[in-house]
Amino acid sequence: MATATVPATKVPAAPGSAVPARRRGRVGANVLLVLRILAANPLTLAGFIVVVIVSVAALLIAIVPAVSLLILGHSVSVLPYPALDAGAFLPGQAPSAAHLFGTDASGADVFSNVATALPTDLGIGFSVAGISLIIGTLLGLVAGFWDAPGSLSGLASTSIMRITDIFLSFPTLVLALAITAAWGRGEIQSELAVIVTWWPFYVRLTRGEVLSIKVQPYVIAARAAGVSESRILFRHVVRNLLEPLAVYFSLDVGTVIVTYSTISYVGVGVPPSIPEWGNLMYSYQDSLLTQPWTVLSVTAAIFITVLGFSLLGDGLRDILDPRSRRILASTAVAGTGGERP
Amino acid sequence: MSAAQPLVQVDDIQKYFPLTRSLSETIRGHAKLAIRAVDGVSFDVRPGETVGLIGESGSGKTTLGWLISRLHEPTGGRILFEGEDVAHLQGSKLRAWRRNVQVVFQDPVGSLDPRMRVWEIVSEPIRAQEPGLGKAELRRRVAELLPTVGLMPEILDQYPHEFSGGGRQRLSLARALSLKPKLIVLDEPTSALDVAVQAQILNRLVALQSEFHFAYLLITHNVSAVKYVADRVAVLYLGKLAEVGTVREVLEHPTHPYTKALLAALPVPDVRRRRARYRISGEIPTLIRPPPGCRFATRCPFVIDRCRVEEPLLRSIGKDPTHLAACHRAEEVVDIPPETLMAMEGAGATPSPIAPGSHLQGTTAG
Amino acid sequence: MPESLLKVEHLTVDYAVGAGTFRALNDVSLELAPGRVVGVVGETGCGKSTLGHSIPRLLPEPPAKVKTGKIIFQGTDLMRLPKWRMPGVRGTGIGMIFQEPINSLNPAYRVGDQIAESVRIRKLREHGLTPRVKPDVKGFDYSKRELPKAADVVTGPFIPPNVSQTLKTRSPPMTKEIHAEVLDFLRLVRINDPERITNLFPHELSGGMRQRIMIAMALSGKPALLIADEPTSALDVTIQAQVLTLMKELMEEVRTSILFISHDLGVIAEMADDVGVMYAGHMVEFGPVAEIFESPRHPYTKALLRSIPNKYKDEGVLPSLSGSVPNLSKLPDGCTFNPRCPLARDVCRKKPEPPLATLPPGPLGQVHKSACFFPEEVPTMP
Repeated sequence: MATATVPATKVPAAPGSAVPARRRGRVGANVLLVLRILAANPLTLAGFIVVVIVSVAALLIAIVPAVSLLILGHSVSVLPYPALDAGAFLPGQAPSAAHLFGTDASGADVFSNVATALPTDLGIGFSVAGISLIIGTLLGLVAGFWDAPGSLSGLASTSIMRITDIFLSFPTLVLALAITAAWGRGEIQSELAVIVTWWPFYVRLTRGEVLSIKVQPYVIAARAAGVSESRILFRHVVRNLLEPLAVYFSLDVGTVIVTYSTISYVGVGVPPSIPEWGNLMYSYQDSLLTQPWTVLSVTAAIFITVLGFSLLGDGLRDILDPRSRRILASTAVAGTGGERP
Repeated sequence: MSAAQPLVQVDDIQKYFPLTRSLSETIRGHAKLAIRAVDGVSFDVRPGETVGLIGESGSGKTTLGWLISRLHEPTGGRILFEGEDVAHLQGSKLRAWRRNVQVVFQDPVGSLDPRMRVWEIVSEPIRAQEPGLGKAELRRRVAELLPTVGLMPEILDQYPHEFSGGGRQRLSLARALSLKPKLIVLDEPTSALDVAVQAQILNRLVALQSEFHFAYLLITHNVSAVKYVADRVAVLYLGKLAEVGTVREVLEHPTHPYTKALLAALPVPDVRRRRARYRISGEIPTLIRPPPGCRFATRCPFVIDRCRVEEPLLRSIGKDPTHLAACHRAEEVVDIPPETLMAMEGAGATPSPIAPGSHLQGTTAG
Repeated sequence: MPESLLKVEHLTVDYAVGAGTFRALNDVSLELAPGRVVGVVGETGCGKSTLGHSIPRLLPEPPAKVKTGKIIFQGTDLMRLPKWRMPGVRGTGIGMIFQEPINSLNPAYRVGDQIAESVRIRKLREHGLTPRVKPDVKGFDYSKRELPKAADVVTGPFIPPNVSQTLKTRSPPMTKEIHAEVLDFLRLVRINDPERITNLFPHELSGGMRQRIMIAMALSGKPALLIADEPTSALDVTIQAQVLTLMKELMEEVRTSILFISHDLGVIAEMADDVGVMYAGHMVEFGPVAEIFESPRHPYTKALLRSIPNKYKDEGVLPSLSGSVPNLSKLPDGCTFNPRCPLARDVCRKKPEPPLATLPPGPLGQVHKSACFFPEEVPTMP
């Protein structure tokens, strides 16, 4: 017990030989870790599976026809029937083996309609949230990291925040109506309307996170070590930002899909000729009582997709944070790594 | 401790943090107020020695440490590092100078980036000062460094959360050592640790110093840690030095009433010394409008009228010329042992544990 | 031996973390006689706070789970009480003081209102207007009362028999009366101008003042047992000395029993009558404060006491305890302390682990327990 602490010099430190090799197969180990976390969190796993299935399906639906046209000379679809094909079948059929979700009042296959809309809606979700993420994060970083009062950068920071507040106060739907009135109905116009009101949230989020990260002791420790400000920004601030942003982004994709469907439903989204969930909902609303499966199919598609992203987003925090990773994946609570007395 | 040139000489250093006035206060012409965290402190650190800086919260000890490691820029005064004034260094010059002074922070959890692996954390100062080194070289250097703080090189790829508090503090120490600095500022290095782990770290600090001969500035409220590690001690109260001297002189013959009070207040793990009543009353006053005269006058049991108007200066007391104290009545109180400050209802000015009105100074004076 | 106020028997608490569990408390027993101060000391993660919070059943469940054990408070096994009856025990039966007074006081209410709330609750219970576990319990006088049987308490009527009458003539206890009591309790904790303090918000007070308020609040419920969880650890040394002095004076005035939890051996030496030393969820030693500090009979206690720095660096290295506290989910076999223990031998590494056994009485004849196979060798431990 009362042993003298080993003087530092006595510790054998053979140069070269003492350097342990980088852990091999780290990618494999990380994948394994993620799978174990998923296995321990069934809801996250469910979200993960839904997101994977939905994304792969969307890719196949969108790409296969184009690729096959290029290779085979004619278009092959992964879907059983073409979308919005009025009069192809007997209208108003209930769901059956031939028509999974039945047929609608115009005689088109509901499953094909809903599935064809998937790449459109998912693409809108990703692109609106993604563009907002990029704009918002950049502005938020600037506004959060250089906010010293009284300086030029502080003035820039304040200006960014005031402009953000102004955009934050635009009502999405009214703006979409205005843009449609000015430029006509189209996918780009309506997406623009959503993005204009969407990016300020990312500025708020990023700035808040940056403000809290930049006063953490480890940032001050880095500064004391002589690390330059730009390096601190990327090495510490941005790295610690990724996780909350990824979580928010995942939740946000679902929110965008819901918001955009609303806009389309009101009639200022994509043109009616393009299958999109909001559009389909609009065209099916009259048959709500006579052919309930039509509306229900669209609702279920929106519900499951959005729920998948939400569940994944909630669990993403655990997967991305090295602190919770190990605790969740193994029974062993983090111990004392290789300490000598 | 010869008369060699000091490594760091702090000369009448000040740090004021201005308070923002509201618009109405500005219009009504209220004076600009500032928190005087450090208000005219002078002392030096010689090469290879340890100076312990003792003080309670609000004494300005952490601010002083941050000034010397230039995480703050002083409001006034000079910081001479090897004879060169570094008080207002900026930009790349400041960053290059930082290789001389490294800091170990109090919070073993917060001071390590949770998303970095051990080798990235420990090699951060090296990368900042010597850019362009390859990953393999950095890992090799870190692996060599880890045994000196008592960690095994196998931990290079672990994350900080996998370590206990003591292990994290060893990592902080390794990071500070990585550039072989001349001075290491230890800001409450063991406050968050348990007593058994604290003993390990303190032993390690002393062993490292005898091997690498750097100087320590040990900032803490923990007198027993200072006793073991320090050569000289400076006691800080409300942004001013109360007493300076060698560790034995200050701890065994405390002169300033505040030092006496601090030593008397220490809980000692000795059941035969279960004491009855502690008599230093009141709380630390605010740093915004510090009391005129001696800053300890509001709580001092030996206070006289002179203390409330005239500020005492640090001066040599007793036989040892290096033992300085800032007290008007130093000669009279020098022989009063700290134990009397906890005697039952002694001949003090404050019979109640709280002097009338004094307990609210921290809140109302601002 | 006077009848005990609190008896913790074989308490075992598990925490579920992720896919695994770890044992925060392992078969901990403790006895607290009326008017005594029992100190619990140990390093971070030894389970001392879990113990403190498990007695008024304030542990968050889940992740915590009480596996086995009894908590007998004034003759009632709190583990057998339904959860909804626990509030009747807290405050007026068991009071708590926490480490961080800024987090324990509600920032939205004035200090006086917060103390008044706890006075009001006690008054309502004293008048039988709100249920308490035992209607006639008076917090401060527990010396000669017959303890009811646990079964009576559990099956006893929820609403006291006289309540329908009192409800009719119910006038809420006088506000003036409550206000006067609030001032009394503030004076009790040596606050000189209580009228002014009652109108302040917690953030307007210093740390030492807030802790005084917390103590006043806990005492205003007139609890029979006070659990103080690191009450001075967040305070400065000189302020800590003031608060400790105050608590010591109050102990004499109020004669409440205290379970005093701290990591600071110096504070425990100053405050406690009996001391329990905890290590990795186990109670490894229990005894009178003088014996624990002067002739410890468990190697861990001895090592812990030795590692307090008390010399200059030219006097040699500090004796330090090698290694670190074990991972609670991967405890070593046998005695938990064996990997760090200089007395460890084969029997220590085998299960079963040593029980907390009473040692042969010393010259003073006090009860001293140690969970070590070789307590007689500890005094000569290297």
